[in-house]
Amino acid sequence: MAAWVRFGFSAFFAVIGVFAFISAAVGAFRLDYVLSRMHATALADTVGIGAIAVSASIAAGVDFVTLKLLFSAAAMVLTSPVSTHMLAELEYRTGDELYKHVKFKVGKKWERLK
Amino acid sequence: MKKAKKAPKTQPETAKVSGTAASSIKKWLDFDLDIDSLPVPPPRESAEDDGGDETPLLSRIPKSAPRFVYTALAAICSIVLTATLILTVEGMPRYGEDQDYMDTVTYEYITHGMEYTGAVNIVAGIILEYRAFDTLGESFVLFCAVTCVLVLLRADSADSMPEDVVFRDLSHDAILRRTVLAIVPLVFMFGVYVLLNGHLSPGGGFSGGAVIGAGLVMVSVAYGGDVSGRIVSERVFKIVTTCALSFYCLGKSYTFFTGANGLHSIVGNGTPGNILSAGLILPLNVAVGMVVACTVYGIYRMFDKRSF
Repeated sequence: MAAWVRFGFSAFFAVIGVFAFISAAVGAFRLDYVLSRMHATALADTVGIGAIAVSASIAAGVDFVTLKLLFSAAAMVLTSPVSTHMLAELEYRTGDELYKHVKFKVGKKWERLK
Repeated sequence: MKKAKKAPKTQPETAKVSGTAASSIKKWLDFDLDIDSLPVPPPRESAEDDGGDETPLLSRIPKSAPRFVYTALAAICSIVLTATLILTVEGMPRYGEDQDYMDTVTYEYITHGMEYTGAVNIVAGIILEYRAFDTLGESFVLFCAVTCVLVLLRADSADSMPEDVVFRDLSHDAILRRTVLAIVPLVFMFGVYVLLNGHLSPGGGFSGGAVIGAGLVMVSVAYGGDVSGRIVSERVFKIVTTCALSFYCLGKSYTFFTGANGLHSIVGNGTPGNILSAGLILPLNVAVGMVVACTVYGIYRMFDKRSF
C-alpha cells in the first residue's frame, strides 16, 4: 500500500513535469514572437525540472542523493526565471518589433498599433 | 618635385598613425571607423632599384624557385607524414589483443599514482604532478588571452570610454539584485570547495576558478563595476595573477628539481585523503584557480566597460 502511495505521488509530479516540457516544446514552435516563446519555454526550466526532481526524489527514497537533487532543483527554480526575466528585458528595451505584438486599450477595445 | 613636397607632409602623419593605432582598433571594433579618414602611409623611398613606386609589394618578392619545387616538397612532406602515421598504426596491437606494453604509462598512473603524488583524485595527480608544466602552459595561455583583451579593449582615459548603450546598464534591476544577493555566497562557497577539494574529488583549479569567476561576473552584472571592483580591483588583479603564476613556476621547479635528483624535498605527500596532503597539488590548484577567476572576470570587465 505504501509503495502504491509513493508511486502515486511520484507519478503525479512526473506528469506535471512532462506536461510542462511538452507545452514548452509546442509553444517554442507554435508561437510567433520572442516574448511569447520565452513565456512558454520558461515554464520548462522552472516547473518542469522542479516537478521531475521532486518526482525522482520521491521515487528513489530519501537519500543523500535526494538532497543534492532537491538542491539543484532549487537552484534551477531560483535562477531560471531571473535569466528569462533579463532576456525578456533586453528584448523589451531593444526590440524593434515589440509594438506589432502588443495590444493597447483604446476606450473599451484592445487594439494593436499600426 | 612632387615627391619632395609630399615627403615632409606625410612624416608627422605617420607618427600620428602609430600613436592612435589602439584607438583606431577600438573604433573598428565599434563599427564606426571611417577608413577614408585614416592617414595614408607615405610611399617607400627605397623603390628606385626595383623600378618605381608602382611595383606592387608581392612582385618584389624574388621568384627564387619554380612552382614544381614547391609541389614536389609538398608531396614529399605529405608522403613522409602519412607513411609515419600508417607505420605507427601498424605497430599498434590489433583489436582485442593484449595491450599491456601500450598501457604501461596508464598502468603506472593508476597503480602508483596515489602513492607517488598523494592525491586521491588521479586526474589531479596527473595534471598537477606528472604533467605540471603542461598545466602551467595552459595557465599562461589564459594569461596571454586576458593580456590581449586588455591591450585591445582597455580605455586609455575617461574620454575614450564608449557612450552607454541603453541595454548595457541592467544594474538597477531589483529582481536581479535580490537573486544575486541570495546566490552569490553559495557560488563563492562552491567554487572554493571545488578548489580546495581538487586533490580529493573531481574538480580542481580550472573548474573552481571558473565558478569563482562566474560569481564575480554576477556581482558585476547586478551591482555594477564599483562593487565588484572592491573585490578585484586592477591592482589586485595584477598582483594575484603575477604571484599565482610565479608561485606555480618556482614551486613546481623546486619539486621537479628535487624529485629528479633524488634530493630531500620539504614538501611531503602526507596521508592520502587528508585535506592537507598531496604535496603541492592543493596550493597549485589554488594558484590556477586564481588565474582562471581573474581571467574570466577581467575579460568580462573589458568587454563590458573597458576598465576595471
